Amino acid sequence: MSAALQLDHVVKHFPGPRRGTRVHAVNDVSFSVAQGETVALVGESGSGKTTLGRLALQLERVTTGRVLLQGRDITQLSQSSLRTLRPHMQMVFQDPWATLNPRMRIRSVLEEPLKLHSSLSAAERQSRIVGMADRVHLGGGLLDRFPAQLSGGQLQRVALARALMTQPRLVVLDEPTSSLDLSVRAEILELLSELRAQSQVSYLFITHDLGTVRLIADRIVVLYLGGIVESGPTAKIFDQPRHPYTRALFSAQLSTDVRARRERVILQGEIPSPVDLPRGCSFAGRCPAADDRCRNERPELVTESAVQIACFKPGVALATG
Amino acid sequence: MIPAETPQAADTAMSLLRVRDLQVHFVARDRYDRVRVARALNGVDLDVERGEIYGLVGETGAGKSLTAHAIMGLLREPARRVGGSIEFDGRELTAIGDDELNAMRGDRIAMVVQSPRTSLDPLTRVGEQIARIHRVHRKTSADEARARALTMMQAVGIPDPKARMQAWPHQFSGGMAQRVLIAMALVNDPQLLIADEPSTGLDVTVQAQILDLLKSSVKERQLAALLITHDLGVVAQVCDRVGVMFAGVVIESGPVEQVFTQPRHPYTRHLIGSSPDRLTLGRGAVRAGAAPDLYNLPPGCPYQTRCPHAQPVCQGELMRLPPGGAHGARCHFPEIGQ
Repeated sequence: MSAALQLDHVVKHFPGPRRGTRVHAVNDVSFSVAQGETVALVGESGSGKTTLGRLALQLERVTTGRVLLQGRDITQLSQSSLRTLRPHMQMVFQDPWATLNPRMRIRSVLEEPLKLHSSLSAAERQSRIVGMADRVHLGGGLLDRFPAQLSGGQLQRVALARALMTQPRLVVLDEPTSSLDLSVRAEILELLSELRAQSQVSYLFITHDLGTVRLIADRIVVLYLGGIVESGPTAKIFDQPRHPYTRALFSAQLSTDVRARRERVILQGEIPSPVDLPRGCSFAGRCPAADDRCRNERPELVTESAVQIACFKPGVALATG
Repeated sequence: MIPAETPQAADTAMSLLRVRDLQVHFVARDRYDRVRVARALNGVDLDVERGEIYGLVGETGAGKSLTAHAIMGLLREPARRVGGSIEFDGRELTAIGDDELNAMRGDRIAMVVQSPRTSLDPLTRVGEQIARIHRVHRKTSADEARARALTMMQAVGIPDPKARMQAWPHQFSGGMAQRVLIAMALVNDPQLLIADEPSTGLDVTVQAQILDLLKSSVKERQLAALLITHDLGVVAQVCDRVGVMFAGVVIESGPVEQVFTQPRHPYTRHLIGSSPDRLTLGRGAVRAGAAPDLYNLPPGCPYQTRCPHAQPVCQGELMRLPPGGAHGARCHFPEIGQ
């Protein structure tokens, strides 16, 4: 059975700030999401994670490379043929408030995808809506309210319900819990894992929050400046991150365990401009272990016991403080 | 005799900032012209000592930022302070006039806010903005003020500070802009620093840098800092003491290690248990609970409607926090569920 989603050497450039320049948003990225699997795309702002999510659904067109949905290349499809595939691939955004029509009742919000993509009768649609509301734990009374009458957590459950109405095989979640309070976030994550267990849906989960990744993802893809620096099974990467950037990222997480020893990999500076990519390793400018080779030669992504890593010195000793 | 005054009497050591029973209401009228009162702060107690970072933590709407605004004297209608005291270095801030408050703000009390870019004047060079804050409060020449600004930019770790003095705010990244705000806050050697979500919205590696900078500034200058955050990790790793807010009340406070390892309020336990690094999915029963309705708070404990251990006594008067910054919770049953 083919993967729910496969990205094959995907490259995306945008026009740059000045004439003749280009923003290298995504640089030769390949990975796949198996059916029922959750893959987390992790990185800081400017790492290209949101662009990748949009490319996966062809909301943006690739510059080069291929995107396969259940084995079928969708990069060459016209907008209208893409539309026929939309029920199988859905998206949930960070800010539910901005993606829900304020003048539509929740019931109509949830009915819309069924009207567009199914031939169900009105009665069948209503029974689906009620069933879905139940699955995302939205009380029946909320269905006849407007978005403004719901809390942030409730709105995000509506957004999730809307995405799942057409029983998609793949849902791209772009920071779905980042704007939510802790306890609401916990509730949404719980719900996501519940829904996945019921329907074998695949998630591409875009986030900068490693705590969330540990909870929800089977595999993790760490991005830096539009490229993969390290990827592999979540447990393995959490157990032993080997790329200096991954290690810096993990060490910058603030644990709620007051007794946790904090060995910080100190990073200087910030992510460089994607307009002029560095010649060598994209992380060399901030890497505490970089040498001349790192600055001049680009490390290939190599696979070693289920973990992919792009570094000349994986696992090198780093100064901590 | 009832020793009602004992806690206050024992509380003799002078904190730099001492907030007692602070109450702020939002008073508005609905469409039928009936007065509606949202009780946003309902008796906030907190003390911040010199050389310590006090973390104020809570979820959206708990009143963290409002507390900071009340301390800074920045409340605007319809928000009204309806009770309580705010003592700074022995002076009652609620009793002094605007001029005096203006002289204090930016000088002895400084603030760093969440959105660094919108807090900088886009039409003024960065160095000049820092120098201005200095000249407003100190009688110095323009040259001296610029030299001071340069020193500050160096102190907050802005690379190539001399050239960056001449830069415009839009040329700064979020992290660098936040450093500029910290430089502006510290330029007059304040005694109290209020930082409202200073690292929220920054990337984690940059957030770590900013928090390190805040921490070292507080320790070196023996500032008192009130750090407002929703991130328990920030509290655990950066703060010395913590106050947990719910529905406009600090429901638990104390040294960070004690509060995190032996939380005494059921809400604190719930909050800590909800953080991603403490959570395990698939066990169900993670319920967020409804946000408190500030228009209709129950008498007594604001958490009683969500609390698994609530008893009739919880509708009575709220427990007090212990004096002297010791660990304690405003709960009748702090031992249950531990």
